[in-house]
Amino acid sequence: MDEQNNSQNNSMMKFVLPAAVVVIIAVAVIFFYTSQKSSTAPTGAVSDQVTTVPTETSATSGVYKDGTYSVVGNYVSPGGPREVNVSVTLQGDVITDSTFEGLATDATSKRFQEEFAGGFKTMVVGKKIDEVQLTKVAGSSLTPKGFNDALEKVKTEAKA
Amino acid sequence: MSSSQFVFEAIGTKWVIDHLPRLDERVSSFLERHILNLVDDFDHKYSRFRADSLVTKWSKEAGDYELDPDSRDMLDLYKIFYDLTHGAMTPLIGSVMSDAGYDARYSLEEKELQKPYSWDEAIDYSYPSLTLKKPALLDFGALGKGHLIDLVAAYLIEQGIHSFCIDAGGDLLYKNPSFPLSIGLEHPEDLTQVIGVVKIKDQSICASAGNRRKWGKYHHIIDPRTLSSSSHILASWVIADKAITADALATALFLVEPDQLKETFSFSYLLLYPDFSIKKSADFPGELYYTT
Repeated sequence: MDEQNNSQNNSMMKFVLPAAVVVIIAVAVIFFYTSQKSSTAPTGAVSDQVTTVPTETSATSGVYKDGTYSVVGNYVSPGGPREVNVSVTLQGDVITDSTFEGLATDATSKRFQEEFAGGFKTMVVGKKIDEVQLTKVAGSSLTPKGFNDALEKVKTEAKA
Repeated sequence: MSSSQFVFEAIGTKWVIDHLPRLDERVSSFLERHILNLVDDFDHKYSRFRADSLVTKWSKEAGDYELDPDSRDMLDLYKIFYDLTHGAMTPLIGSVMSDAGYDARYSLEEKELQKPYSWDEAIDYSYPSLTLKKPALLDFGALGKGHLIDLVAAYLIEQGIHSFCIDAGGDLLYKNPSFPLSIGLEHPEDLTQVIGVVKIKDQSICASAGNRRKWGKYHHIIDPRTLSSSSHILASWVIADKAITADALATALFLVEPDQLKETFSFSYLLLYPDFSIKKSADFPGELYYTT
């Protein structure tokens, strides 16, 4: 029993770390924008108020417990303290999803937070199927033959 | 133990059924004939692209019809979706699709679109009775293929085959109690690529993409509220226990937010947006390839 509790506490401690890193990165980027664009050095220190809330969990053997963790990060902009919400989904020790929400109400901070959020979202890319070695692919490439034929016909007519 | 594979074309797409164990040739050819009959019978009833189908008959004559058992899951599920999505997902979209050019002749020529009838205006359904108050062109495209996959699966199980994969043109159902199967998620714009890999076991994965079956300003999903095809999502993938559920949800996610559906159905999903950003449920299994 004790052992289990300990290991749970351990992993509780450990997932604070990556979440905090994300907040720190977020804060650093906002600072970067703020100091660069307004040429005013940020005043005050970053105060990290991190609350972690695992919303969904499943058992894996990773270092961190799988789940979605939400944190609120604080930073002090030249215009005063500001807040951001960051949520991170961990799966097998990998961040598989993340969201960022700026909570600023003044125009300048709002703009910086939005610019950051725009670049923050994760994008996916393709990998060659041969590289991944798969036998099955889920998609809708095999559309009804009649439809494809008709489309080809329309294209040919359009070219003529 | 080696497997057998059965490949055929039906309902306009390529089917690949792999199953264990390898069967005696006479047995497998018996199974294959039965599956072909089952699929053809289904198409004959529920395709709106066939002049001799039941659906085409319903589109011409109002009246009381007694339904076959294979329609029950589709209509039951359609009613649930209709209510959940406040009419956004409806079998009555058939007339709109047809007028947009996705008609029995595949004319791809657009006529003026009119909003479809509401469920209560056109349909009175209580299995096994279907009353059409007006002639109405029903479209089973959003879940028909999924249901057919489930019907083929039920037949295989009934025949004592418990380990198989049914792939109907990229919508899959995989049954195997012991080994998960890795399945690539097709890159909607480059068929030689995948954007990730999922592992499923005793589940179905179905996909829908707006850039397939596209003509003029429409694709195969038209929102009856706006009479236009939604372009805010590039592709969707849904994993659920049954193929009919996964198939229907993959379409529904083009029309409503996942939150509207997750109370009623148990599923995981991935949505791909035109900028290749994503949204997914926390339990969506597998690995995605992210930009670095």
